[in-house]
Amino acid sequence: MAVKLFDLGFMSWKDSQLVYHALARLGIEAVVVQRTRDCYVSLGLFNSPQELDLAYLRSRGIPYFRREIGGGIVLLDREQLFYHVVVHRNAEHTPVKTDTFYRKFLSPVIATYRGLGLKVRYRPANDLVVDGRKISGNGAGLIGDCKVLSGSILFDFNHALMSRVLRLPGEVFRARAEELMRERLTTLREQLGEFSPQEVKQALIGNFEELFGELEEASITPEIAREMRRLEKKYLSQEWLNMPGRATRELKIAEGCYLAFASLGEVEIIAERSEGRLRWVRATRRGERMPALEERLLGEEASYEKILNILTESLEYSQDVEEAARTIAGGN
Amino acid sequence: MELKAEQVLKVGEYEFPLDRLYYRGRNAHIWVKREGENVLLGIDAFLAESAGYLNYISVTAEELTRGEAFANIESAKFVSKLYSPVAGRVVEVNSEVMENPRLVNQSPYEAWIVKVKPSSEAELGHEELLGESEAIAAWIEEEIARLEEE
Repeated sequence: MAVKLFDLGFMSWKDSQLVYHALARLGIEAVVVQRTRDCYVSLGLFNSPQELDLAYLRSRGIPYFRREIGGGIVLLDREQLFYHVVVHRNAEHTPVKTDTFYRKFLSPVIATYRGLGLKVRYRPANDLVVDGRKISGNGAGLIGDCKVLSGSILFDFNHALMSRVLRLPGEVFRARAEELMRERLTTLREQLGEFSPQEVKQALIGNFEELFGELEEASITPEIAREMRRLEKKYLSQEWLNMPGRATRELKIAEGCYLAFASLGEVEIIAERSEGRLRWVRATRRGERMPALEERLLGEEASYEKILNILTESLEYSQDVEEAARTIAGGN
Repeated sequence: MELKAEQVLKVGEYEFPLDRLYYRGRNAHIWVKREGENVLLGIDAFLAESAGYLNYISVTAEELTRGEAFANIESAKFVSKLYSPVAGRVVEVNSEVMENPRLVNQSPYEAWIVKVKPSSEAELGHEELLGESEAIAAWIEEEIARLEEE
């Protein structure tokens, strides 16, 4: 049976998420392309709403959704073209290996960027990058018996709003987060200036047809609409939205780039870890900069032992110091 | 206790200790090992390798239904589900693995995820639980063939 194409134009924030969840639950193999007319935040299954500045979201009327697939927190709006691939987990065209799954189903997206003249490449786990900067983020997962890939082509991006919707430890951290997002995330507008969203969409559909063969044009049937409304009750329930997530001690900007915050009473340290080294550090005691400590940390390898050593030599040893070293070093 | 070489089945690059059963239902790749009146459940080497490094595991059910999901796992921003080979009740969650999910990749047969009291002895005797070398090898060879086609 041919894979269906749902070319859905602009959708409400809720429906833009519910549609691919419903297709997967119903076992309908599909490529969905759409945009949302609203601005909203989407959490990965394991994110916590505690990572969001909920008061700010309420004040701006920005809703949030928790999707049933992976990836991090994303800000979504009309300046993005969403694509979703829904395939049966046991279908012949569905790779078993996660890495192969991404490579295969992101290949039409890469081809679309390349058709626009951008040398976009795949960077594991699932980023698409041009000149080392992320230009498309993706998440995926198993919903019902279907594997789902969900991502977007960024026409434009509101870096300031993205850093604003997050609950972050202070304005210095927020300002650095925004700077890093501008440095690490790029968009079609920035890369190309002018482009036609309609042509980008058509190229994307054409590239998915190269992969799947001719897609069967489809629209939302009453059965799909019923499933969307059924799922809406679950996904918009307080129980689902407020489900606790994993504890995070750092903000991930892009693959390999993190901003961490460590507090040791009077001393606070913000450290950017990029490609395994500390690339930017701000250390303060009661709000006053600590240049000697900053200098020692800057450029250092992000290893727990090395950072613990520096902190122990610069500050009085305590359990807080160990915890701070662990936070700054992250997973290294 | 370390198993002797003849007690470990090797299929391709994957090892399967023969002191436990393997659940092939829903292509779950969950192993089941008896421990007194309970069983331990974990992920086999094939799933541990094909999923990639696990970042997070969350056990989502206390009462397990055979063939239904009991946990979510995330690796490489992909959220997947683990399906239970038995009906029963979770009596313990391995907190060490919850803290450090990569233990599952490092030692899939040591890093159990949940300890379960099966609802009956019959839960350990159904046809989708494989214990014989030939049956395990035939299934995993099919799975490897799928990987190679990719």
